Amino acid sequence: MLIIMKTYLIILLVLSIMYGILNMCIYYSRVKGKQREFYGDIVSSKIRRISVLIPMKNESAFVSQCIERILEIDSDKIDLEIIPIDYGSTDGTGEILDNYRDKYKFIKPLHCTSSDLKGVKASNAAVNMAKGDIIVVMDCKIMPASNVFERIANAFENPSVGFVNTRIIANNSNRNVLTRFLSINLSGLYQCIMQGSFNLEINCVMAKGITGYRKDILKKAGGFTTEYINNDICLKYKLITAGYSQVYDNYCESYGSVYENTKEWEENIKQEAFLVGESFFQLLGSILFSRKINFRNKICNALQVVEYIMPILSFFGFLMILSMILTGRLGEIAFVMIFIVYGFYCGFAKSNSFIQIFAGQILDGVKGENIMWSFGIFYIIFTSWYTAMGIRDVVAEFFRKVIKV
Amino acid sequence: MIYIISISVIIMILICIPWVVATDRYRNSRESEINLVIDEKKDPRYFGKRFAEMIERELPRLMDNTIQLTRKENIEGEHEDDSYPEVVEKLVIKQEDFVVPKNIKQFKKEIYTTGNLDLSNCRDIVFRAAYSDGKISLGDSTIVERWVDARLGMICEDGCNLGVCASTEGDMKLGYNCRFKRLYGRRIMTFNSDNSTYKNPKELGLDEEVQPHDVIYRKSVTIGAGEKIYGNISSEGEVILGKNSVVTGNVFAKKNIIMQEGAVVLGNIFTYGNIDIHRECVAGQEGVISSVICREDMKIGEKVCIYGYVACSGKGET
Repeated sequence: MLIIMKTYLIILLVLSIMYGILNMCIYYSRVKGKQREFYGDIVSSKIRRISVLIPMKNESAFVSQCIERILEIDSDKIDLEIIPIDYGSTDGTGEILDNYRDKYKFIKPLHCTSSDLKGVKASNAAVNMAKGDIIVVMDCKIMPASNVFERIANAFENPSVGFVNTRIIANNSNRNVLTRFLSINLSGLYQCIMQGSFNLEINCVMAKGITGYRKDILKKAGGFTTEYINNDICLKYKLITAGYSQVYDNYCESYGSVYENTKEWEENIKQEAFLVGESFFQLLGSILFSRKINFRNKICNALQVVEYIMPILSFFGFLMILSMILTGRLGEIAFVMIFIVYGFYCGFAKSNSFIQIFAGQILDGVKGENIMWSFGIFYIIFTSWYTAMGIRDVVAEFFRKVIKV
Repeated sequence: MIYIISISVIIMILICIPWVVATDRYRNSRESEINLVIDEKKDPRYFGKRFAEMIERELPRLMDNTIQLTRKENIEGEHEDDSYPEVVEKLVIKQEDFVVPKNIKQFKKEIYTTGNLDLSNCRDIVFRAAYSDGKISLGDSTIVERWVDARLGMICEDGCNLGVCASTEGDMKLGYNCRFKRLYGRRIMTFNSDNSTYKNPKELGLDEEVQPHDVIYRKSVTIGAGEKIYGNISSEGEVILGKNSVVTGNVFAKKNIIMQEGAVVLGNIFTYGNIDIHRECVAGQEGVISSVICREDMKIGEKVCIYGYVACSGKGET
């Protein structure tokens, strides 16, 4: 039993060190390294056809401002088509969308009311409906800047690009403690982790801003894998394993909102953990054995997929260490604790490390708000708990499918 | 027991101190939100257009030879030719053609003309920025400190340093050893060659029935002399386009791109490395704006023609 426990702790130690090194490299490349800018500055007179997919359910409070904002983006270089996907709203969202459809020919709402047009089927029906060569997916609470669609279109001038991620800046950060706290996390995620990963040419699929896909590649990969198309992690990994690259544009910024209550936040963490968990079961093998991904990306992507299991692994590790301390058997592997603590220091599961958040805030020129990270311990406990719940759901789903088969 | 309780209390206090500070921060100060310029649009002639707009807006309110731009600026008064000082300290506004006299060595402020701006008589002249609603001619070894923008066209003689940005809606002709960061023009041509020496992409002998397809290379790639590639090229290494080769799409590379003599790329060119464009190459096509961008140095040879936008993060030189 003792040998099993020690082996387990050594595995945990190796994982913690790997996460520590990865996070430190990302941090260092962002703060001290040469910044890799993508080719958003391309000037072209070519007119690109873009279809914007906006999934929504009961969003009558936001739908008008979102569509009006897109209509304000008047560019002669893009031929825009807007496809709002209404997943059976009951608050009048559908009627608002129909009013827009009557006014503008290029707004084509897709109402998913019939039983054969639910979930992922509806998302892919929208893709089939889309006339654009580029599919852009955005949340209806996002307010895109004027240059966003043009810059996304620029990314696809390169045939090797599969998808593009863009940056979100919180516009509701002063609502309450949670929004203040989540907005500094958002800054750390985009400014430090996403840009740092892009500098190191490491794929990082966790961003939820406006995302662009090339339509033909999206279809070739089998379309969306979930109805949560804002955050289709599995699809992004599929594109990566097929050899397509990811582009992150830190200058392509939009306003978005962070969660204003713990209920929404909790749902989001569980959903994201579920999606990553699904990718783990479906794609870990492909990631590790794909010939189209280089060694560095294989390791980093595998670590990202395993990242969400870390809270559970660490919890058991903690129990083992505690039992070994109490029984006086920790002995020669006491050093494990030092490295596990180092792993926590560099970032833990879904939580960004405080150094990355501080760096993000400094790069954004926001002073003083880093003090809010003093509440970080609550954040770590909250995200760890609900990440574990999400993983529990995906394991349950996996066994349900196995039993069915 | 008391010992354990005391230790626990001390630990709790130590843990809570940061929370007290954070709570105080939350109660007493609002977050300074990150401002996003939501309506920003990219315009390669941004500097010239904004400056001209500002001048044209304020010109009717001109008083005592001062104009309100971002701050109050004095305007240089009218002079007979050659009576200008060697160093012009004030802003110059001309509502006609302006031929800059030979004796001027430096303009410390911007120049605005509604006609043509002719600096071709001056050698080694230095100016901060210039806008012309007509054409601009820069003489040998002119140094632009910030930007230069002409609506109708621009000619730059040998050895000019074109500052941060040189742009025009018309044609731009560059001499030998010109240095640049960003260039924009309907057609950018090097070494003032006769237009007839440039290849017309429509006469490249392309087969219109060939379906374009994209090619992605994991390593460096060399396109052989005279070969025609129908579609886009992306490489994780270098791209070498052989003599008189033609690419109908874009060329993207992580390392250097070398266009050998007479090579033609009808789309955009981008690299994280250097770009070396040899003589008589063409980038882009008539009537279409394309971009040639590199994140390091760029060298453009003679009789090269680029339709659209050129930018380099390192040194750009003809």
